Amino acid sequence: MRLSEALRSAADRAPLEGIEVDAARARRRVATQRGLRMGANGTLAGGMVVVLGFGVAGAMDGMAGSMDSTSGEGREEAAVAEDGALGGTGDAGDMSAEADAAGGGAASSLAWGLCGEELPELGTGDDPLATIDASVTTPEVSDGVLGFDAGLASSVDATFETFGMSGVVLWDGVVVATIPAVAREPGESYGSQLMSDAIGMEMREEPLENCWDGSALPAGDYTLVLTQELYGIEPLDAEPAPEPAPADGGASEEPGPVDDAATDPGIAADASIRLVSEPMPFTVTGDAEDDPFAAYLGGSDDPAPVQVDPPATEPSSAVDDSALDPGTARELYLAGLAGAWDMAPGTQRWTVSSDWSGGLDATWFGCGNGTFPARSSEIDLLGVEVDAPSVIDVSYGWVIDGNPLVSTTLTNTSDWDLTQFWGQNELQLMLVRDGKVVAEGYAVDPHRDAYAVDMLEAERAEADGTVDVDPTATLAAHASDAAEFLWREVDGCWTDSGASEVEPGTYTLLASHYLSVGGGVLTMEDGWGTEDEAWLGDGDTDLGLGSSEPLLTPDDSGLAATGGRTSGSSAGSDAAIAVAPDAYDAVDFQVWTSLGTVTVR
Amino acid sequence: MSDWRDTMSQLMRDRERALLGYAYLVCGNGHLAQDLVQDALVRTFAHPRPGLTATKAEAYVRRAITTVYIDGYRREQRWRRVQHLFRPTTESVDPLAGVEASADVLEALATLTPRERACVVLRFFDDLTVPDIAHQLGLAPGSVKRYLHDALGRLELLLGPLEDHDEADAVDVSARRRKEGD
Repeated sequence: MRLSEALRSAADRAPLEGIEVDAARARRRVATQRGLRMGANGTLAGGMVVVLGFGVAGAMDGMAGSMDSTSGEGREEAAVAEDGALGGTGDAGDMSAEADAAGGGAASSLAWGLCGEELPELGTGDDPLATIDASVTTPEVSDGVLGFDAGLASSVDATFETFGMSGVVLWDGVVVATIPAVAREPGESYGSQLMSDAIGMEMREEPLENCWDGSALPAGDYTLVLTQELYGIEPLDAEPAPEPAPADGGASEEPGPVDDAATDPGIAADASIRLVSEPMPFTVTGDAEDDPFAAYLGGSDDPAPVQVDPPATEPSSAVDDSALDPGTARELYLAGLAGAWDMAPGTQRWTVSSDWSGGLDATWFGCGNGTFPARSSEIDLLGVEVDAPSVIDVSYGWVIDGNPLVSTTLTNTSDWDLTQFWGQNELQLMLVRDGKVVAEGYAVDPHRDAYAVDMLEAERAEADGTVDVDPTATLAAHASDAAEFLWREVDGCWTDSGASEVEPGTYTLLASHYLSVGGGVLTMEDGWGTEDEAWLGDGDTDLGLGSSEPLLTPDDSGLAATGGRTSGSSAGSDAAIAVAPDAYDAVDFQVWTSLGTVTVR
Repeated sequence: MSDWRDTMSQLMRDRERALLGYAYLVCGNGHLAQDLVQDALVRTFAHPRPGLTATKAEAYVRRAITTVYIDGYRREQRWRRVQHLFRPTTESVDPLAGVEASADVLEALATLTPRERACVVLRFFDDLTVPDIAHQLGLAPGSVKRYLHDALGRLELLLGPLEDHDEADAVDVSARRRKEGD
């Protein structure tokens, strides 16, 4: 039997009768994510301009398999350099600080315009570079289509890149509909221009459909808020920067003050600006219901959830507010970007293995993949101490003469909880020579099975007739966790001609740990029907999901948000739970720690 | 309707069954395959991808199916809660039972762990190399080799000798172990 042929045959005859992909739902989720995508990096209130030094996602980003490490490198590092890592110097830094002051510490990572959520409470910036000049065509809508005019007004002439203008419709301050951006080339950014003496007004008409299931918005009072992101802004009349003063002191005079207004519109290189319009009220005519979105928002008509009286000291929120969230993690990464790594013993670097938002390019380091990525970060967050042997004997890839013990102690040195860290149970070792990985070492925890389940604990629980409570994957703030492994294998890197031999000699030894930050969606089969789970991990805070409002389907009124998650059966329906999957955000890191050297004999 | 919607519609119109079949291979469950495809569609189309045709989109979606599946596996906290749903039953891991019954390849796949299963599909269905699989799944190449080795060992017990076991760069761990045992 040829397995390849058998697999293809099996795919063709897989028992899939009656199973179809809900493409309409997929389209709605995509539309929502595209609408929210621009809002994932910054927030501000009406008329406010904020400069944030974030990299705009490239056109091919987002796939876990995409490992292009160059496209975003320059802009990210330029943003760090220019913007002082999101809060540094100059206009950009000032305005970034302003954004933080307005939107809180997570301002740069809050999702703006999340379906079913309120817009963040923010202050107003002064002297914006540009504003959205917009108005609804008629304040009363009777045909389900909202008309509005919108354009950008500015006091400067500049070119910029954009994905277009999008927006949200608010009901009682809550986002109930989204207005997609209309790019000139669908799915692509395009160049445009700010003009100091003109406003390019554009008239649009958009159907008013709610962002959960696409139903027409019911009668009631609403507010339209538009937003547009501008990046790659270049003033058309910018004068050359003044020559720096000679370093040898030849110029005795201090350089005079630079007239920023004359030479620079206040935009740092590679900065991005999000504009938000003033709110524009309008009414959908008809017989208004009292609570038209109760089914989606968990309105007052729903029966109150049955709650067990918690201890007085128990926090009402089940979400770990102290958990590291993806937005903060990205900021830490950008703030810690460092140059080349010499792999000195005890030093550590972080690389991004995947970023759901596409803001950070993924890099890969390992067998057959060249030298350590040029872009890595120093983040004081995870202390890794590994007591590994300095000499090992290897035969045919197996560590012989007894598997040496490798002890690890991992310490969360930060004030955040690491809620998806299971490095306590895993240890990956890399043997490096001339900056390249030449072999991989495998260490196994003899107490755990292939599923990383502690067999001794499970056996003990079974013997006691108790439920084996899975240990949490959380490494709490300032907590430590120790483990012991047996070093089992050393495999040479794979080449076209097969696995390479691990030659005797001395190698730099690196330990690698994965850290996943953020939440996600798991779909599973429970034997009676499908069940979607919106998992509220540490990514919830930056998504503005709040701590007290679980994401529930209309039928989930009795479920309380416990354990940092909620669940509910949707059984393939198009229920409002779609909000949670669309809110997915995660960023995965690899933490590399140099352990010094190991000699292979 | 914008272009991405057209592309998605065409993809679903022409290749829905193929994508579902592929997802079924990866996960072994029809309803889960349904959700995997939908999640993969969202991953593929949520970001602007200039010049994305239905043909290219299919490749993206297939890649996303495996990564969505493995991502779910990686969320250990959740994985532990549902691992019994994926863990092979006592009967299915009994290699002798499989040999006697000449198990179907789908049944044999069901005995593999999620990572083993994904590696097998990517290696023998998609013809990816070990480094490519490692790249795709975010695993170390050595881990991929180990998963493939263990998976093929299990599959051969259930299905009999596999002609393509030793082809190309599949796995040489078994050879190494045989050599060691000489």
